[in-house]
Amino acid sequence: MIRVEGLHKWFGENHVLRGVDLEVKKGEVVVVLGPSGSGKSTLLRCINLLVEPDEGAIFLDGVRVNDRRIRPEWVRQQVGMVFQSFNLFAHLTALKNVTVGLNKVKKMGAAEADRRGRELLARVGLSDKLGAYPAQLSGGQQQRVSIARALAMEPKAVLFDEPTSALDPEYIREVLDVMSALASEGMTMVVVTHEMGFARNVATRVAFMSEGEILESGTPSEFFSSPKHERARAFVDKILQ
Amino acid sequence: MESHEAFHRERLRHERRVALADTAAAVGIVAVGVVAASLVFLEGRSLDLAYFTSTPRNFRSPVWQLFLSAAVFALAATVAAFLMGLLIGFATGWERSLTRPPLLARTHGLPPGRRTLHLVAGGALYLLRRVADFYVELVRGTPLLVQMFFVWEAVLIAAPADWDLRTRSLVAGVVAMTLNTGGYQSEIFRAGISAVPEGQVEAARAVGFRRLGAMRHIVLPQAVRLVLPPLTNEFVTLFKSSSLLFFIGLVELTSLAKSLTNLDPKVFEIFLLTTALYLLVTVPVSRAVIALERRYRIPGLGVAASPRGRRRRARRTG
Repeated sequence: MIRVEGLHKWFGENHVLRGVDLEVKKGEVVVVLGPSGSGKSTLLRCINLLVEPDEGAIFLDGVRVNDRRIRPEWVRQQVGMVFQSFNLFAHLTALKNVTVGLNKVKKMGAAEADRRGRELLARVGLSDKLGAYPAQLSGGQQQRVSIARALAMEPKAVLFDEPTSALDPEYIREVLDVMSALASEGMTMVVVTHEMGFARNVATRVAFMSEGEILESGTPSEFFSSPKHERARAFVDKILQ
Repeated sequence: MESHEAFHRERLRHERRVALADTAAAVGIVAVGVVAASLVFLEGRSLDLAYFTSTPRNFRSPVWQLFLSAAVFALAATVAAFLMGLLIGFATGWERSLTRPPLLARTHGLPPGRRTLHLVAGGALYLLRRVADFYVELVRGTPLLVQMFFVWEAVLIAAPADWDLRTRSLVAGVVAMTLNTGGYQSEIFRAGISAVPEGQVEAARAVGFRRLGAMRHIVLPQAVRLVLPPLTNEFVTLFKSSSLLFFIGLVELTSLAKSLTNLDPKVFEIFLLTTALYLLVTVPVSRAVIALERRYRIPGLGVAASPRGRRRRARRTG
């Protein structure tokens, strides 16, 4: 469904992505692991074109999307994104956060959008927080709203950029539970995370990134029990300690 | 439970008493100030109330009417300049809040038709940015009086022959005020738009908004709440600056006051009325905006709820 080929990205002098290849099939949950600064977030941002790749190709269902003839908005409506810092629209209630895209981007009627919004917030367990503003929600609740917001556009895949890294420990569980449920419903997901439990139990595949390259990729059990690359081994050793 | 209720009621009563005393004190201080000032400036004579209804030499209306129309004129000029400045300020402020556009738009891989379009649009954007930056520096870096004289001279030279002097001065004055406030408002909008976190724009883009939609539906509603206080400040400043219209021969509050003091030595009466009229505009405006801010307040954005507002809400819901 998503295919990345030979992706390069420079930020000034900094060569952040050095030829990344990645294939994500429909229904797969790919967890991208790696030390910080290895380019994981940039890779996600390239996939939905929030960052414009410098070299290489990204395909969505066989269509090359990093092409000037393709509108990035069209791509982003099909690939949802969940941010580390939630980025909920601060002036809108939880419900409006979910429906604003339906309403203003997809031009869906208010009543229909409202119904969908309520449904989605119920799905992430927030039916009682429809009218709450982001500042009135806990981090975990905000992140669940942001997942509902991403799902509202009916994306083919959802990208998660360290969705639990900004959360207090007591809220991590609730967000991971929502993500696991989503995975079990067959949603295609690419997840950058440091939650090894999630990688081990939910991921269909793990990709290990270091210094702008994907060094190895395999099933979680393969990766965690016998990482092949030296840097992957060092990484696994460090986190299993 | 019962005693809790009673305690709460007692506290509310106490707060109301404090608020009443507060108001009384404010009124008292102003009254004492006016009396003290009148003792100093009137040198023992009493306030000449009849002066306000008298008609000065060379004028056709009584003093109070002269003042009222001067105030209305100053306010009209300010409102006109402020509204036009709002357009200039928002447009240039938004443009200047963007990171600097590259001199040459990136056209790699575009079909030829769109390449031309991108080059032209990119070039225009770049030029506009440079001009806007220069404009803001020019306005902020020079006195409004100088700007006003400059525009006035320009209008006197270039205006159509059938415009009389008053029309020319009026146009020059409003144009100068518009350009001036536009520059300041540009800075206000630039700061306000920049203060909306980048993540909000990113999230909007991720949902599928285009640049314009993200601005309209996500950034602007938040930025407006942020720029409301500095915009109010700018309006009040501009209204006071309208006194500079004096120098290009227009009759507004300050020039009226000055010319009346030349006719009658009723300095205290004249400036009492002048001050009162300025305050009559500026204070309600500030108060109205504060009320507006509270009304459209959103938790976590902008101003905090007032204690009284909190209490009112608590009573409504509880």
